[in-house]
Amino acid sequence: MRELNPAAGIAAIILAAAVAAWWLGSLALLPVDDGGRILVTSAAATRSLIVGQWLMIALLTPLWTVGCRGVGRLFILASACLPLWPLLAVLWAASGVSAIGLAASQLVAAALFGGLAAGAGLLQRLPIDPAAARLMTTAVGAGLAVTVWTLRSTLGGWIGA
Amino acid sequence: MADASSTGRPAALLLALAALTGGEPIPAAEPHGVVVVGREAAAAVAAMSNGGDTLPATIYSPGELPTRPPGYRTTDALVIGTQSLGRLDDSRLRALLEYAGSCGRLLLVGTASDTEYIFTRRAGCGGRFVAAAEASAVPETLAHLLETRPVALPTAASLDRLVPWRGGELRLVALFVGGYLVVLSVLFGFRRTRPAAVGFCVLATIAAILLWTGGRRDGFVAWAEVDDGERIARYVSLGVAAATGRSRQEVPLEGLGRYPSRIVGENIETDEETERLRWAATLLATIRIEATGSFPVEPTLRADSPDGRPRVCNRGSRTTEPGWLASAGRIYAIPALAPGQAWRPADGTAATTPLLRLLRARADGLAVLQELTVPGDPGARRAWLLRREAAGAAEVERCAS
Repeated sequence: MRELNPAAGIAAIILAAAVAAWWLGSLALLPVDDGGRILVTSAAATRSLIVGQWLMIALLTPLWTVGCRGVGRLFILASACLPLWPLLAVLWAASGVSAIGLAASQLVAAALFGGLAAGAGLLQRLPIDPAAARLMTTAVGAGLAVTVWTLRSTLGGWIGA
Repeated sequence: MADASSTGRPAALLLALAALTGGEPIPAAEPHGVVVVGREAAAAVAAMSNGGDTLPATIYSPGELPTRPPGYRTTDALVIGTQSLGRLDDSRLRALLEYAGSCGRLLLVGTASDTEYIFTRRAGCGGRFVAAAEASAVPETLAHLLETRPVALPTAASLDRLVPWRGGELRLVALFVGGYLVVLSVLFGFRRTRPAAVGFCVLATIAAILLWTGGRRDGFVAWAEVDDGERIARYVSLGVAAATGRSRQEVPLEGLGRYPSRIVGENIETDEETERLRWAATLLATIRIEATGSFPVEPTLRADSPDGRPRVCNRGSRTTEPGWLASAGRIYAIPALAPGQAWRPADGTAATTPLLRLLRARADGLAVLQELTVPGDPGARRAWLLRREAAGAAEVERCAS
């Protein structure tokens, strides 16, 4: 079995830890009798986690996928997505977010990763300076990240609450 | 006769009953203020006009009265005539009796004495807030009823600390999330264990879904109070349901929680026909069901102080469960007492638990607290009855000292 990309996994763990700390911290501050606010907080945490995952993939995929092909890229995708799933499962249980919305969000993450990885691979095969190709891939990823961040409210709405 | 200002209402806001008796009544969604049922009672109350001002009253027809007791929660007083009373269907009559049981002010106009007797027997607060009067005496009697109000029961929020369980799920979630992140960090930290991280993530996801799908925990507490010599106790209850996972739940409204006065929570639908709440439950969410009502009580434990020292006697026909006695700010544990057995306290205890603190706060002088038996899990559903003894009450009879 090919190894998972430790950089992708650790980034996913850091993201999960940040969202988990924020979510648990905000729940601890809520009065016990206000179920409504717990629900809203959980839905907001779910959306934040998914938007964060997309940002992470958009920003870091070009760097992670340099020199990788085929199965190697799949393992990078696994290490970027799977560590977040248990936390998504907890947030699903604690919110009104639909399971279909969560599944779709992970498909979007995979498509985003696949598109960026393919684009990075294509640019590296072009007869241009490798450093320039890497710069262009990173710029595309950064552009996607800015787009995700700008549209985070709309994307969060699609994920559903 | 007390004028309208004695009830705390500005005269400018008073409505002219004459206008109400003339036009088609437009009742509020819930009977509010002074409620007059039927035209015969309205005509009697119209005589209350005092210098152009009248009490703010709304006329209802018998068919517009609430079918459930909580519908009376904003009613200050209800004036109803004989004919209208006879036109009430079963559900409205039950709701009206429950209103009287909760010390609601009720004035029966021109009602036969046997009807008054029935309502007075079923009324809380010893029937002090139920009165009957001929049409000519309605204004004076109503004004007299409005001058006083019953002693308020403790708020449902003050019962919060008596709920047998409190939280716990958040701790499990925090443990799961924290433990998961630590283990995953270790797996990614060592080269050989990185492939195992995939399996661990999937297993943890499945575990989280299984652990937090479905399930609910219920807690219920009720606090009832009755004064010496009264047959009907009033109560306030608090039911709490906490979801242990995401699911659709049905919460029955039964027993002392049958008529909720307030429901706090999200994604709840109330089905009044089946008397159930339907709840799209999510992990960590809770719903609170606050209810009030009344029920008849039999005299069992009763306290007095014939020689200045408190004494408790079981006047019932069954052995009582252990209870508590509050006397002069001290709390005493009452042992189980056989019928006719009397007991005198020796060593008091400090009010260390939420229950005893509430007893001390609610007991005005001499009072006995008994736990009631309620259906369901005794660890999750509890109810107490506080019986206050009137000052200078007659000495307890049929008890051996």
